[in-house]
Amino acid sequence: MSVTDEDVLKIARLAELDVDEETLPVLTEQMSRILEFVAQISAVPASESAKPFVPGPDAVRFRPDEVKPWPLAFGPSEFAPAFKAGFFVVPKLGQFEEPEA
Amino acid sequence: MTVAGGGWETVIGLETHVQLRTASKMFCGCSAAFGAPPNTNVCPVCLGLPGALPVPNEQALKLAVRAALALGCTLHPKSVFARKNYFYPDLPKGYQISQFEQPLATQGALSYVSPERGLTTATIVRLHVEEDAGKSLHDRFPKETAIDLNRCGVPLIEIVTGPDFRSPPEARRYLQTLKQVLEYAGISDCDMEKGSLRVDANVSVRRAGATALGTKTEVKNINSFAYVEKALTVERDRQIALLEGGGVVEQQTLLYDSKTNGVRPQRSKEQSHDYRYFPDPDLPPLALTEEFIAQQQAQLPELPATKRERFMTQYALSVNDADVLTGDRAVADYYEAVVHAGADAKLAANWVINEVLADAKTHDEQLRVPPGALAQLIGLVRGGTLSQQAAKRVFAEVAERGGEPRNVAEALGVVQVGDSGVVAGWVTEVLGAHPQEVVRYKQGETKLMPFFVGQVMKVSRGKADPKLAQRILEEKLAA
Repeated sequence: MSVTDEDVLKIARLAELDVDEETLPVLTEQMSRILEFVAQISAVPASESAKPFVPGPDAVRFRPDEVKPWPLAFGPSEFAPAFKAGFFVVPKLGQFEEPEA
Repeated sequence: MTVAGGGWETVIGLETHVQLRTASKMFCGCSAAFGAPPNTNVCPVCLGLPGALPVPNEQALKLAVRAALALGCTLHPKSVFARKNYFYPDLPKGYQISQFEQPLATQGALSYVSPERGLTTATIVRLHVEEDAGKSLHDRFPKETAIDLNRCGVPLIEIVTGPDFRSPPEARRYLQTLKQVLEYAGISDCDMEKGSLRVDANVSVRRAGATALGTKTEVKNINSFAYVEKALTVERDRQIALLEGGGVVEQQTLLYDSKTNGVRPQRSKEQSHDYRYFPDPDLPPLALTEEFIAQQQAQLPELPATKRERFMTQYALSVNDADVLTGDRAVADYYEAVVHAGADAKLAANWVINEVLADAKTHDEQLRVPPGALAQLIGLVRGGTLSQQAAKRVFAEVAERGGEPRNVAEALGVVQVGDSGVVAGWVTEVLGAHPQEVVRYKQGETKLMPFFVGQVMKVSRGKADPKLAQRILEEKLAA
């Protein structure tokens, strides 16, 4: 399996990353190598004797439904880039902006 | 087939997000309560701070499994939490923990009474567990969007139907039935105003008889049952007008605006709807044992459809009466308590449907007259001690001030008088006061009898036994 320049550009767009013309072929080549390596691993027959290694427990553990918040070292107002009247604030999102008069 | 105007058929599928009734959030110990001051129920986990790890809430999983069982779904012994990635200010982690390829449950069904097609079944394609995002408030500040992350991480289930609904009223009826089931089973309070139940709808239209689906749009921001019908109607009509004008429907996400009763395109959270799902590496698979599932099954109460059937057979009620009485679990339990307290089942149904529910409607849905008191009141009417009219006064008094119906009736002086001598006195008074009607009655206008009985009831201030009054009237008018 190999990756095309278009695949890389799409992934970059989804990740909101800018990829310039020089970097594009490098990334394409690297990603293709990663997938080829994964394909080699997949070729190993999975059986009882070669179980995939999964770190940690086999199944998720639960916690009881109790209100026991884990405290913050600092309140949100201290680490928020912008904070007003108890709210985090961000620039107004496009679709809700009033049209210019 | 239900066809919209001009030979078009509407096709609707619904995605319903339901907040689970838990004290704490899905993956952390923060309170899940609604209405706290903004950004006070937050911690490193739900804020997505580095190094914080999620631990699932057991009660949330129990409720989700109960919901799946109540909707007849196939529960999967192993399901997987996945990350749904998108950028938005109310999602501080940059991803939502959800389920994708391996959801908790699939292939369920919910029967509901369609206004057009009668008893119909909606298919539940999947039911999965996820966490909620925060809330963006766009009208709080003029130039900024305010973000409240209290809702971040609140446990949800998403219930996805097939494209099964053929009209907006049908979609609304399904939602009402779903709400009923979820409330019965104690899974959610389903309060749309608090956002505990939120609906997104996929809408398309096609020519009547066509088998292929038309291009669908997704309508979001529908936050009341009344708006479900309005929003879907607006979008259906928009698509039909577009197609009839030679245009094409563009696949897009639309926001419903209840102020203008219109839809407008939403700026996409993610350009291509490519959420890049992958299994959450912080959470091992969710494994359900048969024992866990059986325990949740045992916790399910009798559900509305089963209860409706039972009421029809056990109490000989009509489908409509049984439907009204089982619409709300508290009302159904109340009705049964009245019957168990000795009231006739049919009379009790009439009283609950008419007087009790009317009173509840104006008193914050409170069932104010205790079941035992209502049973006694019904018994007093049946035994001839109270007229129906007097019983309504007693009911109102007991609802307002409490007390035993018999004592209240005596205090109000409305206990029916069965002494024929006393009733005959009232009859004589009435006949004397209406000589012209007496003449007309004697000339054959017998339909005046209810008038005379009514007058006797008026003169006696509701105390005369109407059957006895009628018998004496008939005797005197025949003389």
